[in-house]
Amino acid sequence: MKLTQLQNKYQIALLSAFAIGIHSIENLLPSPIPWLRFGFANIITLIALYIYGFRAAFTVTLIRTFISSLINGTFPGPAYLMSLGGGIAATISMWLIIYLIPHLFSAVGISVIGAFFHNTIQIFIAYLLLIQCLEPVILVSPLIILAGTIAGTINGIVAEFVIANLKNQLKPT
Amino acid sequence: MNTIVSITAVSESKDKAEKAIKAAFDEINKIQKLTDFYSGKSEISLINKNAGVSPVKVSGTVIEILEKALDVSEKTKGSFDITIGAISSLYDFSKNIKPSNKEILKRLKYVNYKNIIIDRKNQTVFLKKKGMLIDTGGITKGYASDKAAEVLKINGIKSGIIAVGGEIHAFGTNPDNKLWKIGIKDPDPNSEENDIIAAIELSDSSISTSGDYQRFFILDGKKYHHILDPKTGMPADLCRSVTVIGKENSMTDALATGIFVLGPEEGIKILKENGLNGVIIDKKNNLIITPELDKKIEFTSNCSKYNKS
Amino acid sequence: MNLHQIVRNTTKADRILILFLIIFCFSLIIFFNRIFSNKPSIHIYSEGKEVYILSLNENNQVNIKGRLGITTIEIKDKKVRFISSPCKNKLCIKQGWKDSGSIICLPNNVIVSIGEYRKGGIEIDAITK
Repeated sequence: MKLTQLQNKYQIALLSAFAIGIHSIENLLPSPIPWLRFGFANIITLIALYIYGFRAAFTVTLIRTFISSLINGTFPGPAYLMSLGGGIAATISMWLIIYLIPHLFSAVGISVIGAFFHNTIQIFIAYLLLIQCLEPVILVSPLIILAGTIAGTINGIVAEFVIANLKNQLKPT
Repeated sequence: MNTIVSITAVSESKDKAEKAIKAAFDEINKIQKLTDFYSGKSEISLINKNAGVSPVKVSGTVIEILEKALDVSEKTKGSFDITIGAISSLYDFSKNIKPSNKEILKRLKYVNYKNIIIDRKNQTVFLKKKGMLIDTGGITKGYASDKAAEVLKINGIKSGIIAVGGEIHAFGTNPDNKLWKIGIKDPDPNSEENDIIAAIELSDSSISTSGDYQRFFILDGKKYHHILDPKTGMPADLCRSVTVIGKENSMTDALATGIFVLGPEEGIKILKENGLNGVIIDKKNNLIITPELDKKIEFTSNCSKYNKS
Repeated sequence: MNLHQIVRNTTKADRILILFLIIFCFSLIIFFNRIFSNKPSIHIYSEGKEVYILSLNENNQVNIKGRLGITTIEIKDKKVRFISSPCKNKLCIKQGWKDSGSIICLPNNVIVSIGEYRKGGIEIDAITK
C-alpha cells in the first residue's frame, strides 16, 4: 500500500513535469489567435486518466496549470484562470464520460470531448474577464471549437498510441 | 521640373527597369529645359521675349505642347489659357505677393490664347502682342508624364506609373498584378499630406487634380491660390478640387485646371462631352462625380466632410 | 500499435462525434458571417490606435482616454455622438448625432468611425493632388 502510494506520487510528478514541459513549449509557439493552442498537454491528462484514474489526472492538471503560469509569468492573471478553468473542465468532462459510458468512445473521442469543454469554458472565462462583448465571442467560438476538434483528434491519436505502449510495459511480468 | 517626379517601372529585370527609368527621367528633364518659364534660356522664354516682335523657331516638343494646350483652351472656352503668364507672373506665392487690381486689369488684354500663332510648316510660334507671356506650367507636367510613359514602353516596360507632382500616368498593372490604385488628395487644408478622400483603380489612363490647397497664401483674411481665372486674373473660386481621368495626362492636367475655373456644372458637362471621368468638390463642399465612376470609386471616411450627391 | 490500428480502433461514436462537431462548427461559421457581415460597427481610435470596436445596435456609453483626457461618447438608436471632450473648441460635440462617416476630435486625438476608418486603409500606388 505504501509502496503504491509512493509510486503514484512519483508518477504524478513525472506526468506533471511532462505536461509542464509541453505546455510551456507550446506557449512559445506562434499562434494565429491569442490563446488558440494545440493543447498537447491534454495528452498527458488523458494518459493519466486512463492509466492512473481521475485523482491523478486532476492533480496533474492543477500542478501543470499552476507551474506553467509561474513559468510564463501569467499567474494569477486571466490567462492563468482561463488555463486552469479549461484544464479542470477538460479533466472532469473526460472522466465523467469514461466513468459513465465506459466503452462508447475510444481515447480519440474522449480527447475531442475534453477539447470541446476546455475551449467552451475558456471562451466563457475570457468573456467574463476580458472581452465582455458578446459579438466577437460568438463569432470566434465556432472557429476555436473547430480548431479544438481537429487538435483534439490528433491529441487523441497520440494519447492512444502512448497508452497502448504504456499498458504493454505496465503489464505484470 | 519644380516638383517631385517619381517613376515606377514593373519589370522582371532590374537592369532593364533602371535603364528605362533613367531614359524616362532624361526625357522629363529635356521637356523641363525646353519649357521652363523662369530660366531665360528655354524655348518658352524665347517665345515670350519675342512677343509682338517675331516668330520663334522651336522644337517639335514645344509645338506639340502648345497645340495640346490650345486644344484644351478651345474645349474650356478659354478657362484654361497658357497666356495667363502675363498675370500669374505678377503673383508670388512663396513671398505672399498679390498684384493690385489695377496692375491685373492693365495686363488682362495680354491674356488670350487666340493670339498665339503656331506655324506648323516652319515650326515657329509667334505671340501677337508685345507684353504677352505664355506659361505652360499647367500642362507640361502632364505632358512630361505621357512622354516618360512612352519612353518606358519603348524600353520594353509593360507596366509602370509616373507621377510628376500630382499628375499621374499609369499603364499595365501594378506589381501585385492588379490595376493601379490612385488616391485623390483631401482638399481640406487641415488634412495631412497623404489623406485621401477616395481611391480609383485604373490602367492605361492618366489622372490629374487641381486644387486650391496646392499653392496659396492668405492676405487680409482672403485666400489667394494659384489657379487664376483668365477672364478676371483673380483666383478662381467655384471649386476646391477637380480631378480628371482620361487617356492623356497632358489633357487631364490642363482640363483639371480649366474645369476648376469653369465650375462644377460646366465642368461635368465638358467631361461627359469628351468621354472623360472626374471628381469635383465645389466651394460649397458638394462632391460630384461623373456617373461612370460610381462603380470604380472607393471613398474613404475623409469624404464625410463633403456632401455626396 | 500503428496509426492504422488506432484509426481502426476508434468507435462509431468517435467518428460521429468528430463529424458532428466539424459540420456544426462550419454551419455556425457560415451562419454568423451572414448575420454579422452587414452589421455596422463603431471603431474607436485613440492616439492612432484602435481601442474599441462596438456595435452600433447596442446602446452604450464609453469613455476613451485621449491625449488631453477623457472623451465620452454615446451610442443610441444606431447613432453616435460625443458627450464630453477635454478639447477647447468642442467641434466634436457640436457635430451631434451621426449615423455614418466619422467624428474626429483632433485636439484629444480621438476618432469615432462608423464602419472602418480608412485613413491609409486603402492601399494605393500614388496620390493625385
